[in-house]
Amino acid sequence: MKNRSILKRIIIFLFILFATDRLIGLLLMHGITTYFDLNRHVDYVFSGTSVALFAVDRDMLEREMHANIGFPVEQGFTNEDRLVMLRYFLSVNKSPLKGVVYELTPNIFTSEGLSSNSYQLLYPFMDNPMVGDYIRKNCHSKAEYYLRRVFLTPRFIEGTFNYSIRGLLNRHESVRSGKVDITRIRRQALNGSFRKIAFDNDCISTFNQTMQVINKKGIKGFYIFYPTVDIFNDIQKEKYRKVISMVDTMVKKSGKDKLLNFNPDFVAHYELFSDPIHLNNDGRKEFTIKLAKTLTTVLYSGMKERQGNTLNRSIQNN
Amino acid sequence: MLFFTFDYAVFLSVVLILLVIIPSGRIPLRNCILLLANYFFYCYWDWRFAGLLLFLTSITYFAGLLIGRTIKEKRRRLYLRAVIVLLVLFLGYFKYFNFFITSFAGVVSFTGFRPNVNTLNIILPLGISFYLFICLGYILDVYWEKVKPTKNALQFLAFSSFFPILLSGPVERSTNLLTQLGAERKIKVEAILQGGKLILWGLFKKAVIADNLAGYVQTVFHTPGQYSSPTLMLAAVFFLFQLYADFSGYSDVAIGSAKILGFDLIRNFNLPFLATSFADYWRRWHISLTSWLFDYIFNPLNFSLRKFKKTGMVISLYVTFFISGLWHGADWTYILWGLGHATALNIEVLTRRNWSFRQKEKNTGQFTPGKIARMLLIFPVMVVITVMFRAENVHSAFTYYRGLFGFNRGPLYLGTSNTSLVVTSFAILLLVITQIFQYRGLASLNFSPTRIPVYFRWPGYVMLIITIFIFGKGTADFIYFQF
Repeated sequence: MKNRSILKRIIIFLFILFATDRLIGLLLMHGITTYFDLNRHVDYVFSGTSVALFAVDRDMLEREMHANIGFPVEQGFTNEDRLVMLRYFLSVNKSPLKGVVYELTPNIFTSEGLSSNSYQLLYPFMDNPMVGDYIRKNCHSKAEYYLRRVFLTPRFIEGTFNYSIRGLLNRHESVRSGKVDITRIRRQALNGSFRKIAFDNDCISTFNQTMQVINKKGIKGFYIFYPTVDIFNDIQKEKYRKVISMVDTMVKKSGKDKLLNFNPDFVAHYELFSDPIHLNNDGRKEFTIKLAKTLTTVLYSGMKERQGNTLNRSIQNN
Repeated sequence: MLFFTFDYAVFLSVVLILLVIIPSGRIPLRNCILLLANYFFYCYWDWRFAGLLLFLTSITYFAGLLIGRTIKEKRRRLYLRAVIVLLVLFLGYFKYFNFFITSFAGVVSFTGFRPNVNTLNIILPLGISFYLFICLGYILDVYWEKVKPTKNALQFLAFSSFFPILLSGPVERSTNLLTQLGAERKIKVEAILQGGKLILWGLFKKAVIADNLAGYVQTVFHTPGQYSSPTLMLAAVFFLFQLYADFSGYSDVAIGSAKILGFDLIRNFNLPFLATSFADYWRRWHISLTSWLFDYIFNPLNFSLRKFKKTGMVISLYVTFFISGLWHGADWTYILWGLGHATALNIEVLTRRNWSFRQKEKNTGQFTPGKIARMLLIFPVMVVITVMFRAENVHSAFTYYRGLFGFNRGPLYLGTSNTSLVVTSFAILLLVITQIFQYRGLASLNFSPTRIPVYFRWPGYVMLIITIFIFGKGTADFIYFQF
């Protein structure tokens, strides 16, 4: 009799646990869907990491461009995560997109220095078979995967929980304050303690796949080199040029995609950076305005030549 | 096999099922299953030292029999000394060899002579400090005739390698666990639920509080010279909470696991942040080790120095805490940490009449202004002393203290993640509130009945699970694994 009563208590407890998990999980899911603009009409979608996150003011860009921006960008994403996220976005959001704005940095072809757990940022979307497969492939154990299959709340980690709350509060801005310590950066450059430019076949292949996904959907791709402090690029000049030239070749092959390099306009303005690869609040405002102008110009004024010149100038400068 | 993992949950469930299947009267078979489980658990970590564990515990078993059988006091003492020397030599070799070599070279270099010393690449066997202390305690108990030496090898080996306590304690006593292993015990559903609840609370402390604090603490303690005084103070407070949450979390999981299997282990923590004196703090912090040190080192030493009265007590405390520091790690930071605590205790010894470590203040569950004032005095002192425990080396510790008391100017660094800081702060607040409830006898402490109604408790358990789901990291090892 006593055991039966305990069993009844366990069942009721599990029911409460499961119901609460669903309730909170669905609320968080709604938040992250809103934050990543998965549930509204968008004209442009961004693909990127913390570099884009801190460089672009989504709301300002929308105002400047008179367009809706989708911003499924997460801090810590690898190229592969970005590809999965983009494919997921394109499968969920049925808006007729005008363009995909893809973040490029000198380290685009290497995943060295990035966390091997970044796939966890995609947990919330694992109900999608494609994302689910990706997570299952990367999970460290079956328990990790199946716990998240049964319960919703473990699908959120600190970062995605944060995005979800921001989505619920409708707050999109991510701001970095402070200015980059150039003396320290120079010291790091001398010591060689910085992320090196490298060419990893997997990363190159993932990048190619991303371009194919965008092209197959008939969407215009804007491949943008975001501003970074020039100190690290200068000591790896040859490699940096090679990255630009590789991307340029790939973009040219596709025909309708565009490659834009914002480095020349920002490279010497150290006061606009919070660290070597992230813009601070001032840099973010300036960059957003420049980006809006450039995208609008490229789209509506047919300024092919000007854009070509920008690219040529950037290649020459670098 | 980390306590957090699915592997451990499966392992514990399998052991539980096996123990349920075997009738409670078949004690040898049950102990045999436990022994196999212990060694499976240990080998899952590192099979290389399972032989060492078996060797040292077997030596202790036979030594216990020998001492128990011997009548002549001289011989008994000889056997005792021999086995203590042997066990301590093993501990010394694995844990302290390099420390003593480098310290010796350091001391000699002051004379101008620089010896060319080579250190050895020695891997510290997991849990050696814990299981050797269990063995030493047993052998001393047998010598002092507190327990009769067990003739049952299975029972002794299952006791000395009991998996919930094998890696990081609590440092069990033969008078408690060994006796339980020899008795018929029934596994009760109520005990499984109680154990489960304690495991849940332990996981919350470890995964949500300790692991979320770890990053911030590591950053500040790595380069203390770069941070302002308020930041150093915050990091020091956070470290004390991290250490408590980490170790008491581990202890809760260990005690809860044992409870599920039908064993009652000794408590390891008893609301240490509500201590009203330094002695009271040590009666509440790492109780199993502290009581071990006081029973087997302080008391005999203090007794032998009794003619020196308070001076003898002061010396005994310094020796006891020197050993405590050394036990924690082969580093001068731990030794200085131990001596720091001894100094705090000795201030009490010298300023109070009839000081006794065992003299407990009666817990009425009430917070009087005097008690609160004493609690608020003890806590910051513990925070300051514990800095030495965490510092990467003595130089770094003094840099930390210089920054802390030198009023370094600068902004208050709050870490890289606001979410983590907010969540951890709330979790610490929950911990403190729970402890106040436990102190007042409202919430359950050490399986005592609770006065909190079920409609508060159940949502509380659910929210603990969900908080662990979202914010639990469980990535860092337990701090005490290194000891």
